[in-house]
Amino acid sequence: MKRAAFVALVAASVGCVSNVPTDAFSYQFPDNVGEDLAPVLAAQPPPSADAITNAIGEPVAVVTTHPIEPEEGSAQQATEAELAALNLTSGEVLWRKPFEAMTRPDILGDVVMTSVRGAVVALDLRSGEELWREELDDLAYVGASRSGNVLVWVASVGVAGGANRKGRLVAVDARSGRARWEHRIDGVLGHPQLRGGYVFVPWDRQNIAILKLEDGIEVARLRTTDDVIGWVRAEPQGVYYGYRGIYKLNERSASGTKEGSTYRVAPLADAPREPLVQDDGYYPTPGTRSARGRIRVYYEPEPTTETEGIPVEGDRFYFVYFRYVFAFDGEENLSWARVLPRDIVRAHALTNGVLTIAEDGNARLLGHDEGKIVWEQDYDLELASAGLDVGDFSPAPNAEADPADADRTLRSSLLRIAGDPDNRLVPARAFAVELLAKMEEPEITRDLLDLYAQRSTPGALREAIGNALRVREVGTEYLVSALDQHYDYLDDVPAPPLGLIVPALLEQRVDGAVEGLVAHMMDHETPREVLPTVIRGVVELGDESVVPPLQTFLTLYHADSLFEENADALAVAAEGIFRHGGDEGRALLQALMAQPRTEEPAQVAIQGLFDREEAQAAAQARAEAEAAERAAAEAARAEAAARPTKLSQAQINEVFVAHTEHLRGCIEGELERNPRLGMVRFAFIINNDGTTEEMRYAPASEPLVECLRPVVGDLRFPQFRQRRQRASFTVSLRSTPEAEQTEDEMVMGPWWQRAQRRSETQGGERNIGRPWWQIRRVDAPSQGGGDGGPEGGGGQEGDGPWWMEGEEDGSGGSGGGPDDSGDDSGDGDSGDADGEQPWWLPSE
Amino acid sequence: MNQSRGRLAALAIVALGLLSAAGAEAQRRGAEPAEGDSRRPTLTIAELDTVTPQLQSADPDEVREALDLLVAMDDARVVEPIAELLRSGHRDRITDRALNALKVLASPRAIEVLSEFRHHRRASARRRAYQALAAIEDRRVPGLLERGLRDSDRSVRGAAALALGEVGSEANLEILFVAFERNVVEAAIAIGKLGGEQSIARYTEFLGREPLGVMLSGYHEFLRRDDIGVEKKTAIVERLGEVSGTMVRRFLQEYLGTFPSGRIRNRELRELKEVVEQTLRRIPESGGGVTMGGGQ
Repeated sequence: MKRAAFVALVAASVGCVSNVPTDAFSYQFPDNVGEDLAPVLAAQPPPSADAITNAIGEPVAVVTTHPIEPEEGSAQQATEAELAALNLTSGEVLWRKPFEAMTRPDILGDVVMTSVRGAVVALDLRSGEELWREELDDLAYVGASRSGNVLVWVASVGVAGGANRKGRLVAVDARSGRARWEHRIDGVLGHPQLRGGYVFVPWDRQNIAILKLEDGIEVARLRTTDDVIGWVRAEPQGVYYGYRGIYKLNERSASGTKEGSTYRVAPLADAPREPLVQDDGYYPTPGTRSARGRIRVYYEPEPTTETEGIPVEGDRFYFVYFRYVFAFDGEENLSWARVLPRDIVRAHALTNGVLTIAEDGNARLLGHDEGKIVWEQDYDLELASAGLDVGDFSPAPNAEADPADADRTLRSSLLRIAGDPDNRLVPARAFAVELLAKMEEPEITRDLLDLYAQRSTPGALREAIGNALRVREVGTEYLVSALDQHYDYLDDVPAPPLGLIVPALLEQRVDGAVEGLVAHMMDHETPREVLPTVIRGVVELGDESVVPPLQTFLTLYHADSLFEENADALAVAAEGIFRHGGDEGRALLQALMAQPRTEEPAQVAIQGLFDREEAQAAAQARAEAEAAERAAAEAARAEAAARPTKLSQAQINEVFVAHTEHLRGCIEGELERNPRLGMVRFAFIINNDGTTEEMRYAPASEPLVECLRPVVGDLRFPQFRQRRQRASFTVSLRSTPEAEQTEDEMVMGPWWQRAQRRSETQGGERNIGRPWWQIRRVDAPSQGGGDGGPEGGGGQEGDGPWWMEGEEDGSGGSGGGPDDSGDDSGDGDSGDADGEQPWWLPSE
Repeated sequence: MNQSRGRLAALAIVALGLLSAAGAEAQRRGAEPAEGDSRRPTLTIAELDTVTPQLQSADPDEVREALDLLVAMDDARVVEPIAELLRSGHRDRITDRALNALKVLASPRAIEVLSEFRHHRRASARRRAYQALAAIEDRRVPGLLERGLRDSDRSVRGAAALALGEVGSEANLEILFVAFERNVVEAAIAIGKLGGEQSIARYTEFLGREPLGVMLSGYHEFLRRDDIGVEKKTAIVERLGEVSGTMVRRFLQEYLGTFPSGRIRNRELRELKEVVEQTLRRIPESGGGVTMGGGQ
């Protein structure tokens, strides 16, 4: 508001000059502001169907022709470049005049806008008389639009890059050309569009400046943040903009993103040359003969207020590529395809089909459903460009039925395009091949093979056919039957396209092709460059049955000069024998390799097979060894994890019990020397690997120790997790009182037997090897001295005097006590995992 | 080993001497040198087991010598070891020598292996196989030779056509005409050798479409055949007279030289000679003539 007031003040101060540059195209102008856009949207008329807007009220085309210079001796007359207006309903030429138009005419009400060198020109639609013109200096006329009496045109330069970037936007009286307002900027402007009292101007490929038509003041700006804006299109259906994709102008446009806007992705993005859905608004549309504009997608949006999608009229996109028309539905499924005799200079999508204007001046309406020519008009002009204002043209059918239409199918139409000899249009022919390859009819495989075999088929098309056949899963029977063909000079039969067929067979794993492939392997007419591929097919698709022909081939040629430099074919044959031939095959290969006459490349290839096998075996062995190693390590880790933190007394006792006989001998010997011997005690350290060290004996008599050392030195205990533990084991030599002995104890005899039995029956409890009086009573008070008089049967921890107890950690008890070994030496200490030494072991 | 090699070398010298003296006719099981001739071979089929192992030698010279010795034996029983040699795959020179050996031997036993070698990937091997087949008198041979006309290699097609001209019959004419239409120029010679009088008109239709030199090669055969009537030969001469030109003149002069000198008793032959002479008189000595085909 303030801005407008300021501008108005400036305008007033300079005296109401209508063409004073007004505020627009400033880089400081805020963009994507919903509040700015809202009044613009509110002013737009509701969407309506496409309609004729020209002053005649009939479907009209204004065309440019290109000059003709007839060949010497020809009866044709020379013609100049002309401008002509055509009434499509009546078929009459309204007027024609010599005119070298540089740009395609725009039909704007009762005015036709075009340009000549250095000037933009307005002509009367009805008569063709020039109304006015304006010099352009060094700018190029881009396009114009009209609303009421106001016509807005743009000229610009610099769209292709470079430092010179200028744009001129001019609003004039349509009939007089009197300027109303104007902007000149340092930037590139595109074809403007008018609707609802506003001018929509694409600018610098990222912006749409929205100006008021009455004064040219910019009121809103749209800027894309993730796309390009190449055109704006204002139609009765609404305002649309975009570049490859299509946006619809509504409140969502202020988001400036694809995601946030009402947007439709570019239709037919995979079509050749990435066709645009609208002429690029920044480039002048040529009025002379040009390839520009011959590749395009045509559609008409449906009038709708929906904001979620952009439906198109008739659910149709028409892809025009020079002479070819492809009709797709909204899901991009091909509906029909058609070839016209001459290039199409312009088209227009209608409800009932597509109107085409061709170079030969022929206008045709191709029907919506099948692409049949339902209406046509021939103006006998050589056209360069055509401006159209036809609305939703719906003429009465007048075309004679084409007999070819009776048999026309989608398949035949695409084949017609693919096989068209026009080598300008190879990309579109390849596109037709791609579309064919997607169809399910098996015969299409044969069609593609036939097309490939034609000598006139260009390389790019052959490549497209090869790619198509490789992915095609139906029709493989035709690939196989193609192998029945062999070269014949007299009958002029070429070799089948094996370079095309074999990869497709391999891709589809067609086993039934082996016989044919073998025949071609043995056929001398199979080209050398494709021979390795053929043999590869034999090897990959065959089994042991292909070994004999492979052997024949390899044997026959292993010394021939034909494969002196390139032995790929021999190498593949050798590989096949190696793979399928078993031991016999390998023996043959070894023999061939050993022959001095075998060509060196063949020898190398054969040797390579064996080397690779050896290397693979070694690698596999290594992998297996590593796996075994890893498994062993894992098992060891698991085993280690399963180990106890430390050994229990029962586990310690179990080891000693297993060596009872050895111990008995030594102890009995000591008993003889010392009848008073009451016990023998072992105190030692167990390492976590089960070995022992620092073995102490009590009594430590030399003969006893000498006798015991070899025995106990070899003891191996179970492994455990902590690094080491102190342990002890006591052999009690005094039996329990007879009354207190169990019957079993009395029967079993000496201690070692009892100990063993107890171990078996009591699950290896810690009382094994202990005299009963050593078993601590749970509630017995700490006592000192004494010779450890027995107090009762053992078998349970804590049942005997505390000083007699042999702890797992070897401690002698909590308060020390008399030597309970039966020897007064008092040496030895059973050790203590916690570091406390039994009193009867010498301290370290 | 050295003694064996020396003996073989000696035998090889004898064999080579025999071969060089044999000539073309001797190659088709021709006469042995006369008794008392110092070159009379001492090699017999009994040596087969001695020579055959040398075909397995790693020394190509030994293999070549062995081949020559086998050929010198001139017995169909040597075909099998040569066939085995061929199938075992050898260097080009050995393979070609072995194929040539089979040609010299001209044994029907070789048809099988030669038939296989019609499909050898090397054109020179195929050509030799066809040439070897042509040396064999067997009813199967013409049919096998016809396949060579379909070959992609020009020299093979030519060899097959020439071979058919030697051993073929009128039954092969149709395919020879097809081949001639497809620019197998050697077929002209074969047509000239095999074609009956009714073929001459068909052959003459090519006059103006094919190089004159090629056409003359076929007419050369027609004119020298005894089974072609004088009337037909006269027509040929007169037709060539219409073509005229230096090449035709030279051709007719050569043909004139084949007539007996002096007075010819046979009236038809005498009339034919007169026609030739008259035609020659009409043809300018230099320049002139109708430009026909691409051969002049």
